[in-house]
Amino acid sequence: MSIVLTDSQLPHPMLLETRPVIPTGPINRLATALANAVERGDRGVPVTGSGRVGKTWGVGRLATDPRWRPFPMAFFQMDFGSPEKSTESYFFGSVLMAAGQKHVRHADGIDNTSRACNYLVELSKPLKEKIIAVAFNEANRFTQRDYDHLVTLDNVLERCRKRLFAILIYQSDAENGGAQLMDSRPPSQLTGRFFSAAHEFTGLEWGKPDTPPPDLDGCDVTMAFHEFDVGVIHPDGPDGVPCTQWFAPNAYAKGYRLTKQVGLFRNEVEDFRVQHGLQAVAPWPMQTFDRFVYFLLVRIAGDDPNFREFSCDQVRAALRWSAYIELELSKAPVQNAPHK
Amino acid sequence: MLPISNNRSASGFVGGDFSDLPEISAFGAFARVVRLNHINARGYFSAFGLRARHAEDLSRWLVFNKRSCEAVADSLFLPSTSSHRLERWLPFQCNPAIFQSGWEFRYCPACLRQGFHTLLHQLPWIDLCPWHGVRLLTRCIRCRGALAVSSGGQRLLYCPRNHDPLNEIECCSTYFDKAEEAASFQQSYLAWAQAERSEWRLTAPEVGHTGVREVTPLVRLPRILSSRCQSRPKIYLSAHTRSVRAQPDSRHELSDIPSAFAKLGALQQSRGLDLPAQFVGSFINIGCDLVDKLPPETLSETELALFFDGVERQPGRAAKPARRAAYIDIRFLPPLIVGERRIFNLGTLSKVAIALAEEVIGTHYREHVGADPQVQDGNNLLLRVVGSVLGRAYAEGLRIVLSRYAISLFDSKRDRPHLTEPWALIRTNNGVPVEARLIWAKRPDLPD
Repeated sequence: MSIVLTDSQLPHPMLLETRPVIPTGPINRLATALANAVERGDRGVPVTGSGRVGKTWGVGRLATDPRWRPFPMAFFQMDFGSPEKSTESYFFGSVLMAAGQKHVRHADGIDNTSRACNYLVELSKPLKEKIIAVAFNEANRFTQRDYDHLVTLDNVLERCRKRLFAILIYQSDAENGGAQLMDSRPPSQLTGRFFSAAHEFTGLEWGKPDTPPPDLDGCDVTMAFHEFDVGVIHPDGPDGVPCTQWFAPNAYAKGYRLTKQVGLFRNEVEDFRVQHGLQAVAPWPMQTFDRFVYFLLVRIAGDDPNFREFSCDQVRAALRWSAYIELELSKAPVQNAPHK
Repeated sequence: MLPISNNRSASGFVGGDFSDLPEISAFGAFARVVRLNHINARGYFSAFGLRARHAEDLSRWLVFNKRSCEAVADSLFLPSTSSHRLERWLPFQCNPAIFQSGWEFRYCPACLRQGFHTLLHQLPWIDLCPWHGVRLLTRCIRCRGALAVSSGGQRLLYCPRNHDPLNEIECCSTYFDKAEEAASFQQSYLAWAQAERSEWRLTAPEVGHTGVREVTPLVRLPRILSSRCQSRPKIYLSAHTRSVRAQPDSRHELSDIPSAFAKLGALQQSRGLDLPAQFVGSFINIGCDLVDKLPPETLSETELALFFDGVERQPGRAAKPARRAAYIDIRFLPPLIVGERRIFNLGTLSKVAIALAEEVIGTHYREHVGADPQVQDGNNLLLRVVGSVLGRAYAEGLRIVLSRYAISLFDSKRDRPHLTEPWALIRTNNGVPVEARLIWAKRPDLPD
């Protein structure tokens, strides 16, 4: 890979350790689901999805973008571990740790509970939001007792005249806990609060094959490529250019856009999947999509000054490099042998 | 995965962002963080590196214990430890340790409710919170119980009846309502205090029974500040205060000031003082005035003669001598004539007054080489200050001794025996005293 030198002081966002999060169809659908739940008065919503489809990215993106929210909301995001015992102390200690709070010895569960609630209330101090959204990654690790702690959190925040909105992010293919772990249906106090409606977060969906390109409304993949064609502007300011133009300036000047090759990408992906015994059409996980675009733009187009468009081999190489098939096979039944 | 970008305060504590709390005190910051983070006393060391005895008043400890103050300031990322020094808030130079005795946590209920406390509220000459206009308190606003300010027992700041002056929800969810006003007033106050401090010096009783609260009448804030932080105009002059200014007009009357200070140099070394000529008249008058107020047949003829010895003035008509021998303790009360000198028994004066006079001389007296008129004026003023201190102590000593023989003195509001302790605030210009304010504070441990 060659280094793309620029006059700008800052490197292109695609070349950073963490690449930019673009708006996608699944994120928009998640935003709609969350907005509905907030508007309805729910205290939380479960968000399920396979691993690496981009749930955390999506929630992270929504945390930074207030436009979708029906009411002002403060946002807090944390990862939940897998403790041996689901204690109050551990639960609220996790909140404090995610908040970067200093550990204090001799603090008991009640102390941690009150401190964590105070922290969450303090989050809403600058903009005086009434709703505090707390996103729990790996909520599939929750046990019954952890839901009780969540209820405690809701109660305490309610006494502080705040409303909890818990976004419980479940990884559906790694569940070892979660709501289904409970002996029976969740009690009404949990259902009423957190399980009134569930949202399934998917990868990027393909649109109908017969829709004329570019299908920006019906095809998530096209929409995502379009974001690279017109978005991820660098550098900031009037001199900024979209991502595709940055890495393939000559082709872009001649009218090349990633969205023009969606048909080729789709064919290659479907062929690749069929070759490995998978269904031809399936949502594209955000992780492998991001890697795929990176490989195409940075490693291929960015390295070739005479780049005009991607070939089938290059697309196939990008798919291999993105570990697309490994991730897809991990979701398939065990009898499917890994690719060779 | 996206990096989680939750809001983190630098200190790692809830309520640890003090940017909207101007000049928050170390204890204020500590108490705020302790309460909002539910840290119990056992966690103080882990959280702040703070060690204190259970009974220790932490509001005082975090002012006078430099190490603990630094530990708390470091752990909470407070601006700098120097800003938490009490000296910064004083409009005079002094040893800040004098504030230790009688220290009480003093707060504005409206500020503390929002988790704010400043050292300004601890100053005895501030009655009202300047930005809320609320009277400052030392006890629970609801039940007058003492607030918990130590690490033992009760939760910090709670009163024994479990009333809580701090509102956690308000602290967490809203910014301090008077941040700008507080910053502006404190800035003005600190600028004034700094200017005053460069000129004024407080001399306190060495082993006093009175607290620094007594100097309140000596501190005169400019009207722009006092109108917002004092409940009513202060009465600066009373029977217990005196203001002394340099008198350049009387310079020609100055006679032999160096020898007067030479005599006063022996204040604590001997029991008898060769009374400086400048004091003789006033001391004799103090004695004669009191003797004239005694009922008939209180003093013997010899005793009366000693008081009026060498004085043109004669005892009043009511001064009928008692038929008895002279008592030894009364015979040594008046300044005795020995040759051309008047020897005064220093046992009549309280040790506190003697010590203060000596410290005032030691701090401010400058031997004038040549004839610098400013230094002469300054020494003259100093002599008058010392004369006032010793004169008042003499009057008090006289009343105490004579009251054993004249019970009727207790009936007089003015002349009944009582002990006070002098405090002196002296302003200097280029090291030369130019103004002095004195106050005689009643000892609270003695009956009124």
